[in-house]
Amino acid sequence: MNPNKRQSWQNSYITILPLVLLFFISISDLTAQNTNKKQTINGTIILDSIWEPTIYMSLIPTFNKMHTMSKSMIVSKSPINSLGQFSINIDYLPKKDHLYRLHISKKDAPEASLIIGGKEENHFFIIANNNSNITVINRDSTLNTVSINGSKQNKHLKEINDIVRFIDSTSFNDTRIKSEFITEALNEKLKRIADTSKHPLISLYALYKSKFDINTPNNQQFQEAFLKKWKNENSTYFKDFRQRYPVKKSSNTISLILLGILFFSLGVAFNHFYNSKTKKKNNKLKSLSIQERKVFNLLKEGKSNKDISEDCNIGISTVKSHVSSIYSKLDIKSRKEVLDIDL
Amino acid sequence: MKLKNKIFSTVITFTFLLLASYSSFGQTNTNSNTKHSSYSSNGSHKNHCSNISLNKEINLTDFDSEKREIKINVAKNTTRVSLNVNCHIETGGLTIEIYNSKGKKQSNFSVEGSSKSKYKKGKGEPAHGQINLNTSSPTEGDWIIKVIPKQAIGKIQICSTQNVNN
Repeated sequence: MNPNKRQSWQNSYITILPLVLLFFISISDLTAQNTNKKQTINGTIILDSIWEPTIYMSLIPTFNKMHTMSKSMIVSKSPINSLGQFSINIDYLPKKDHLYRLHISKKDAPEASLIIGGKEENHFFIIANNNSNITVINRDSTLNTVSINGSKQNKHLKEINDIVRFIDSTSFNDTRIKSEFITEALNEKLKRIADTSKHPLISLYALYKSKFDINTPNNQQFQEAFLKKWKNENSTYFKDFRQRYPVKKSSNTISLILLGILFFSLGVAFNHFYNSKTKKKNNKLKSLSIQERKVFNLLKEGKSNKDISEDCNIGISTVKSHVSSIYSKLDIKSRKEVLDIDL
Repeated sequence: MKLKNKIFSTVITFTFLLLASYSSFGQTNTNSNTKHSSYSSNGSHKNHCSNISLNKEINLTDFDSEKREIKINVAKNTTRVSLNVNCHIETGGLTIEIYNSKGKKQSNFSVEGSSKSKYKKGKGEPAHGQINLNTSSPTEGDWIIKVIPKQAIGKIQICSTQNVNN
């Protein structure tokens, strides 16, 4: 290689190498920053002075516990500063999505405080995991208008909550007939969300909010299809749902099972009867004398009185006497019945 | 004589009005001027209700587990029912369920305080629950509030208002 060329290669190496090193350092820095980045639920909540400036987060283990409050359910809390800002670290949450409730308490109330309905409703629900980054903002001093950003699931959750809130408002404002009509239509809409949603928790949440009643016509069929759709879901939410609403066997299946049991019992009874009859006959065979048994065996071979007389070397009248005795001892009336006896 | 008659008729009218109001609510502890209730952290409560047709208070003492049903009769011409159930539990559990006159559940909640042993050691963890239910054109008949305590110590206050179209 030309020494000049070699020199220029060396120079370019010297220039490129630090650049490559710098590139890798910056990449590793970025990765480190990403791994250090804390997953949080943060946001701004404007509150009246009646509320304690603290926000609590509770784990809801099953949908049935959505309206249950105890201190043991609270998994985290964060102060709300004078600007209404808060931040809850959620690095330690499970990998899988779970339902959580965020709530605030009044100044004179305990931490474990739940208010349902009205302007003072003090909670809302979110779906989160240890990788979530969620932002919460309320527009006024209530939690009714809270908007949740940062995840698709919570957007869908809000849509469901908006429908439920609309149902409640019709119950508050409209006549009973109108309210019942709207409620029915919107509950059907919630059921459709439950049916079409691809997220298991959203799907189940919508079903619970539709005030799903297993005893309503068509709901049983819906439930079977719903459980089939989520057959691989083993979260506590679905386990609880399956326990609470077990699939009822259809009446056809039950009648088929009953019919099967009936035939099986009949079969067992017949078998028992037949066996006992055969056993009886076998017991009776023991009552035959040696000569009668010999004659009986020849009768079973289909031999005539004459043949038996010759085989046994006895007179025909003696054979007749033996045959008559065999008939009476075995309680039979013909040679055909002799052939039917199993030994 | 005339003055005596006046006094007598006033007393009779007053008694009649008192009895009428008492029987129309069909409940005890009725107070038309009491207020909406809430509980302070130490368990005592303040009233701040308005236009009340029923105000009932239940004290749960001695680890109470006795179930109760409170009936609220909704008259034919009632245009609106407002129900407010407010609970403060020191220990044990309490479930409140509200059913309309057709037996359909309208709302419910459960609160769980600290365990009996923890409470006895003075490490109580109180819990508070409240339902604000407001319904227009409510179904006529007996609405039922089911109170289901489980070894509970605490207080429950129930307020209801009915607007009747005359």
